[in-house]
Amino acid sequence: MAAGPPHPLEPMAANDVAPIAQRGFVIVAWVLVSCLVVQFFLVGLDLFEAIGESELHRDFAYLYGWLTPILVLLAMVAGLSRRVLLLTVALLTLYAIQTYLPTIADTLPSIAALHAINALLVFWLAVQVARSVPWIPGPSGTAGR
Amino acid sequence: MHVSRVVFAALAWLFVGLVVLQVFYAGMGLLGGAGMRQHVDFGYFVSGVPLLVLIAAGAARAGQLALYSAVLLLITFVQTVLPLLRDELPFVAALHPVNALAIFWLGLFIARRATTLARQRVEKTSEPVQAQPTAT
Repeated sequence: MAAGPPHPLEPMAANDVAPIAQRGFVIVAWVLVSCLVVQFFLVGLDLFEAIGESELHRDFAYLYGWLTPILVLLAMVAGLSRRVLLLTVALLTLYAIQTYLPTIADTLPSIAALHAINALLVFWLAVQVARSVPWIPGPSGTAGR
Repeated sequence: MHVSRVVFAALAWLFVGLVVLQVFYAGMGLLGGAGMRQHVDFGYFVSGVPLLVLIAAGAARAGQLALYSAVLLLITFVQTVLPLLRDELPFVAALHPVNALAIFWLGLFIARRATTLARQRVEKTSEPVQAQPTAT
């Protein structure tokens, strides 16, 4: 059988998925930023015992934490720039560290105290990631600044 | 004018640094077993710095940045009041960490813009030198 033109479905599939993944990335990134703002409010609720003793802050963190690995997957599928991919992996890493820090409060309290500063860093990085990718994919195929 | 802009940028960055330290003290109080006394005392000290930032912004004729500095002063003052409302209005008091985030973000924004402002002045001064044709 002679080698003909590439199967029409293959390039079409790739072209279809990347823009959708990019838009998904933007949505998920801003949802994450919103969740982080809510998370800061929940710290306040727990601290000032506005709703009695609760662990809303901790429970909510585990609820939306899975958004960070999803962002990495979406960045790869969307073919985003290397810089955006690295920022997203950094965000995932910092988020993992963030969930780990309170667990060492008894053994290494000074290190665990970095939980609050790391929260600022996670928020700053999440906003950078969200702002670095445009809603509409560029023609070059390597979206993201 | 240039010196006042450098002072403005330096004070703005100093404030961002103090906010980060203050957040660390909050972490020490919550997870480090140090209690919240240091966070509270240092908070009252830090809350005075935006006034210096605002004065510096005025001296530097920073335009809109002076307005942002005034907002920074306002929300930093609100920050010191929020914990006092824990008994009467606990849901309002709970905004203390969210407001901290806003203070950090606005402080960072002002510091970065102030740095750009100070650099612009330097670039303007050095422009004629750069524009001179080479001897070759």
